Amino acid sequence: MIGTLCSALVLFLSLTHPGTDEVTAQSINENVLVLTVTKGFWQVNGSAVSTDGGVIVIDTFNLPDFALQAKRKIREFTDKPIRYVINSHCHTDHAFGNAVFDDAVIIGHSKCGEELIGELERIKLEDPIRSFEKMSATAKPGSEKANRIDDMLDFLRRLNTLFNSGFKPTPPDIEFENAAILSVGGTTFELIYTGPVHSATDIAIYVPKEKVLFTSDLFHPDSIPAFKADTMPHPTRLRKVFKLLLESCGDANYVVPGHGRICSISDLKAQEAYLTELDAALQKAWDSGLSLEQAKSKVHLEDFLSYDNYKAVHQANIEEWWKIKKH
Amino acid sequence: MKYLFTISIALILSFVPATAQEITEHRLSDEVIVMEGRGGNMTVVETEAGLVVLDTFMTPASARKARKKIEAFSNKPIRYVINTHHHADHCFGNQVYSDAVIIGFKNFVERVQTRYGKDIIKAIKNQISELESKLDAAEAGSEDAKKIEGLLESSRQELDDFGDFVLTPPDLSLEGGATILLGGKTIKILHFGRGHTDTDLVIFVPEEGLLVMGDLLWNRRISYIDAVESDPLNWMRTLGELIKNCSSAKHVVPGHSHVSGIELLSTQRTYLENLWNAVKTARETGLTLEQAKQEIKLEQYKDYMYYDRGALQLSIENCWKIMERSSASN
Repeated sequence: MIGTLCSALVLFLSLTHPGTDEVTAQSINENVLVLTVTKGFWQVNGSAVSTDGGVIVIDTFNLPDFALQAKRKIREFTDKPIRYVINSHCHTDHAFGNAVFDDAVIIGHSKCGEELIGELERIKLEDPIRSFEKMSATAKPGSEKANRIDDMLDFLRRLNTLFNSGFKPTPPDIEFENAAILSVGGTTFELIYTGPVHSATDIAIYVPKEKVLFTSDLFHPDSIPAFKADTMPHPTRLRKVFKLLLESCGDANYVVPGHGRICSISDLKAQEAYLTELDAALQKAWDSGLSLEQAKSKVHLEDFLSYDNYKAVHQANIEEWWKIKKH
Repeated sequence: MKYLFTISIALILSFVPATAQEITEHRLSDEVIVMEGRGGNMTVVETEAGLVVLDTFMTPASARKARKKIEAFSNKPIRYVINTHHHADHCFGNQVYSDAVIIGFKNFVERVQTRYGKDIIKAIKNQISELESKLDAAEAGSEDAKKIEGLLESSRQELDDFGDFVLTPPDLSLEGGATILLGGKTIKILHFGRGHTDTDLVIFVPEEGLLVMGDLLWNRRISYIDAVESDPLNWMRTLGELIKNCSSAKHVVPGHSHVSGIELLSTQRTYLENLWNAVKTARETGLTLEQAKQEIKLEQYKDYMYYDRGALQLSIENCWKIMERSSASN
C-alpha cells in the first residue's frame, strides 16, 4: 500500500487540483447527484440517487469530513431521508465514511466489513507523510506544485489522525452473496456481482430507471485497463466483467466511475475493445513466432495511444499476457 | 393459474383450522419469541438495535394482530423482515411491516403471481362463487356438503381478513445468502437452491442458537411438496448441509407448528427419503399413480397431522409428477 501511495504521487500531481471545496456536486439529472472529493491522490466519486422512497447513497469516501460535506450537498439536493448506503467495494476511499450515514441501512458485498478492518490494519501512512514533508520543504513556496503537495500532506495527516484515533470502520449492516436487487420507491438498484476484479468485494450498481451505471473502480476512464497474470485482475476476468456490464447495462446513458469524469457507455466499450484487440494482436504475434521483446516493440494499438497511462501500462500488459501464454 | 390458486388456497384453508387464527406466543429466550397463528409461525428476534421479524402470516389482519403482540414484547423498532419464501401464509402480511426493510429471494412477484394470479382478492371471490355452486350441487347434509361449507366459511373469513391487502414484495431481493449485523447479533440468511420452493431462505442466528426453517421443515405434519415449485432431492441435500453447518442450533422453528431441536432436520430428511423412495419404487415396479396412492402408506407417519386428510396422497402425486417431469427432460 505504501508503494501504491508513493507511486501514485506522479498521478496525483497530474490529476488533482487544489481547491477550497473538498466535495463538489454535479447533478446528472433531477434524481442523480455525483459527489466528488478533489482532495487526496485523485478525485473520488460518490453518488446519491433520489427516489420516491428516499435517497440511496453510493459510497462514502474515506474521511468522515468528506462524508459530512457530501451529506450536506445531498441535503441541498433533496430533503428526502437517506434510506440506504451501498458500498461499491471495501476500500477506504469508498467506505470509511459509512458511520456518517447512521440512519441509513448500509449494504455491501460479502466480507466487506472484514476487508475494511483489514484495510485499516494494512495501510501505514507515516512513510508517505515523510515523503511529502520532504517534497514540501523543497517546493517553491506559493507555487502550484507546492500547494498541491501541501494539500496532499494535509489530507494524509488528517487520514493518519483518524487512523490513530481508535477509529473503526463501520461495516455494512447487510452483506449479500452473489447479486441482489434493491427496490426503493419504485426505483430498482441492480447490485451486480462481478467477482473479484479491483477488490474482493466488487459490485456494480445499475439503476435502469435513471439509466445510470455506477462502476466504481471496475473501470478507470481515459486509462487502459492494467491486468496481471498471477493476481487479479486477470485479463479474461476483466473481459468477462466488461461484457457482463455491457450486456446488462448497455442502455445506460451515464457511467459513473469511482474516480474521474462522468462517462458514457462508449468509454466502457473502449476498455473492452482494448482488451479484445490486444488479445487478438498478441495471439497473432505469438502464432507468427515473435519473441516477447519483438511483440513489445511491434504491437501498438493506435486507438488507445492517447490514453493517459498507455505508455506506462501497455508494455506491462504485453508482458503479463506473455506470462499467461507461457504457463 | 386459477387452478393453481384454487389448489393452494384450498389447501391452506383446509390445513388451517379456524382456531389457528388465534395467535399463540412461545418465548424461546429473553430475546426470541415465536408466534403460531394464521399461516404458521412468525419468529421475532430482539437485538440491542431493533427487531428482526421472520415471516408475516397470511393476511394483513393476522399480521396486525401479530404486530400488537410484537409491540408488547419489545418497544424497539422493527428493522428487518425476512420472508422464508413467497407462499401466501408466510408473506401476505408484509404490508403491515413496510416501515422495516423487507428481505426475500428474487423473483418474488413473479412467483406470487404465477401461484395466486395477479388479483388475490378477485381470486378469493371467484373461489367463493365456485364453492357456492358446488354447495348448491351437493346433497344437503352430506359429508361433501359439510366440507364445502367449512371451506366456504374459511374463504369468506379470508376475504374479510384480506380487506385492504396490497402485495408487498421485498425491498431487498437476494440472489444468494446474506448476513445482517444488528445490535450485536448476526442474522445469517442461507439459500441452498430449490427445496420447498426456489425462493427458500433459512435464517440462522448463532448468538441465540436459533434456526428458522420456513416450510423446509415440518413438525409431525405431512410436508407440503409442490408439484411445480418443490425439488425434494435438493430439499434433502439442503437438510444435510444444515445438519452439518448449524449443529449448534438449540431452537429450530418449522414453518408451521411446534418448535423443536436440530434432530427434527434428520427426521424431516428421513421422511422425504422414505416418501421419495416409495414413489420411485412404485414407478419402477410399474404401478400407476392411482395404485401408488393406494398402496404407499408410510404408516410410521400415520400420527402426523393431515395424514388422514389426503395430504400423503397429494405428496405422492406431486413427487410422481416431479419424477415424471424429470424423466421427460432427461
